[in-house]
Amino acid sequence: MTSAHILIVDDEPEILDSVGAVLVASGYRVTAVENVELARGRLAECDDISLIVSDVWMPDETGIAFLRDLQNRAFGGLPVVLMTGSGSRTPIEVTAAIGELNGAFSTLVKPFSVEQLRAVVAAALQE
Amino acid sequence: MSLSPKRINAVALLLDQAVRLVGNLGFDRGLHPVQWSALRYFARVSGAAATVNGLASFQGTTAGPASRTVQALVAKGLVDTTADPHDGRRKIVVPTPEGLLRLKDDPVERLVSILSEMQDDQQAAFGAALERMVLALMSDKDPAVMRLGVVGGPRS
Repeated sequence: MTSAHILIVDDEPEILDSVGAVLVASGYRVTAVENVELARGRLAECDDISLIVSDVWMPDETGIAFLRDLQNRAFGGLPVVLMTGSGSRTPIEVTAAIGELNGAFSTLVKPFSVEQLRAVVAAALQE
Repeated sequence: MSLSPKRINAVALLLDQAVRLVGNLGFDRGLHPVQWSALRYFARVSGAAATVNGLASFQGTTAGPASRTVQALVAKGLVDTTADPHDGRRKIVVPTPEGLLRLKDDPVERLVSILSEMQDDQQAAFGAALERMVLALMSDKDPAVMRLGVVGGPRS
């Protein structure tokens, strides 16, 4: 059985590395990119991506804008898990509520545990 | 069809009343709105975010008021504090089973119930309007917040 292909989007290389390492160790295939523009490119190239895990506040475009754009395209059914931190520009509850209002599966609050990441990803893939 | 200025003013006043009523409901159910917000927060976060400083950052306040909120929740038996295994100087705040049970009385649940009874188009319009309102209010302090949902936004 082919493992699920997950696209990770975050402008912080440490987050890309750590989240990617956990997901690869959990048996998933991972593509990691630093911004929304690159994420759109990967989505256009790969037709087997089954989940997006995206940061919210990034320099080029926010994860919620990316999510909103996906809803209006052919990728509308693709589950999206957002990641945000308590030091972010918008409070966690506001970010999570707006994310879920726009169709996010869930919002992980950084720093999150390996178990939390695995559980949310597994649940999102079953959606 | 746009509303007249008088009607728009009435909508704003009704929204203000709704906020007050939800706050009052929270008091009736035994917690200050700030304490409900903190309890909700600690039920959602873990690690370094589940600290007094994390709560202070989330509520846009300083460590002093956040610490008093945590102390009040501890006194009510709704959260516990434990030493962080990764940093002995820091205390992690976790909801107790009673705290998690109390969240079933969260006044926000009353809003969920009311919204659930609205028609689909009313729910969608209300959600979009509130999103815009919350972001506009936050943008008074940080204009870049309005970028949150803007597709293809400029670099800043």
